Amino acid sequence: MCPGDQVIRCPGKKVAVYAFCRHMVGYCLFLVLIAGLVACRQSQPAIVESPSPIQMVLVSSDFAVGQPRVAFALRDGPQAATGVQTVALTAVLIDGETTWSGTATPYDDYEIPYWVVYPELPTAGFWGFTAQLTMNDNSAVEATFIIDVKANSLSPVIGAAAPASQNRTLASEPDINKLSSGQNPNSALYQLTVAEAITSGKPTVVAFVTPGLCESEWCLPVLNSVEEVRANVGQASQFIHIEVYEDFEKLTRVKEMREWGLETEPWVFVLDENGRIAAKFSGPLSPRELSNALVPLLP
Amino acid sequence: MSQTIPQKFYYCILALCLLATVQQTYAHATLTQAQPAPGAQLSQPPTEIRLVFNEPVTADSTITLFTPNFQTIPGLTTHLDPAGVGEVFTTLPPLEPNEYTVQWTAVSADRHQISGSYTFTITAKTANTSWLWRGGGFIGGILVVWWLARRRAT
Repeated sequence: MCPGDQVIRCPGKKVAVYAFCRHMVGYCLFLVLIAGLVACRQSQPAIVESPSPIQMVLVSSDFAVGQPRVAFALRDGPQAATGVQTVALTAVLIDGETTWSGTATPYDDYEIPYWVVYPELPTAGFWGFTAQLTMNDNSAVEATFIIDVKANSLSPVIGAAAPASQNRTLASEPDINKLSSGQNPNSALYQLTVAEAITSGKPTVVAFVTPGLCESEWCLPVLNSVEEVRANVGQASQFIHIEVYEDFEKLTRVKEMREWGLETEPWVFVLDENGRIAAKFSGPLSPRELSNALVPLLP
Repeated sequence: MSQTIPQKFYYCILALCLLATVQQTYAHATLTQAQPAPGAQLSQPPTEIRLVFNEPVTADSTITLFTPNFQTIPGLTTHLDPAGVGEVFTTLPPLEPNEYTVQWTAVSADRHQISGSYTFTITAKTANTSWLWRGGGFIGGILVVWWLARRRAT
């Protein structure tokens, strides 16, 4: 047996200590290996997918319980986003359990392409939408937005009787440049009041637009869409343009805006032959979308 | 014959009158600049969100921030920047690494209102010495194999 201070030089102890040290070296190397593997895993970024630079722009308004028209555009910087093949959406009532899912319909026959979806939203409150955009190269990007769904719509609801407005026409105001802020207004759009149209037995398109005082891509082309559809359907339907402003300097709104509960513009309503609201559109409206609503009502 | 001074004066007045009759036009505001930018991946949390629109907006304009599960970041107040036309901003509390959606509503002076949204991400912080640990792990692996081989040989 070796003295305590001779442990290292004692042959028997030396072998035991050396063997112990060799095992410890192996254990330490193993721990370093494990630490390296853990460091590799932790150094990966927490977010796997890159967020999309695509912006969603909501271009419709007046969201109420039911199936409101939710129209949106997709922007990539200042330009319209291109290469979007499909847009699938899911909606969830925030702090609730109700959900909905569906696919948006694209309308590219407008100045700026836009998409429309009619989600089933049975409850008022804040609804969170997640849009899954599938690009032409089959890559996917995601975008989200929230809309505030009210219990009641401000504008006339689908199926309700249209307000029997006594809007200005060429009969009451011969100066057509006071009936429209646009350039070269079409006199055919200023022949009838809504009150006359809803008793005529024909479908009617009523457009609240200010073509001269709103030059944005979202509202100016709406009247062009109305004119294009009117040229296609001819006398089978009636078309009325109600200028939003009564005074182009003071920007006082016409009384019909209040009668129809409109706080924004443009708005287009499609009335059936009985003068009831068959469809309503806020924001952009392409000729195809308007035709899809009007043509089924034609005789 | 050269124009007399009164004629030039009248032409200037006429030009000014024509300019004065040009109607002021309005439009829905368009977002032209955003910080953080859409799609940005940030290693440090931003301290504010700043949006610039192409026309003046009113104090009714808002900025909202929410997470992927639609939890709104509370306590945000939107301010108009008096130094910038059409510029709004909101200061942010400290944000955790996550993906966030900025939803904005711009109300123009003519009451036109439009909303939009985009996302940005704050990435998780990574260890500055991670490369050292990874290198050490690789070397450690080599040494473990060598050690085991030596043990078998002996």
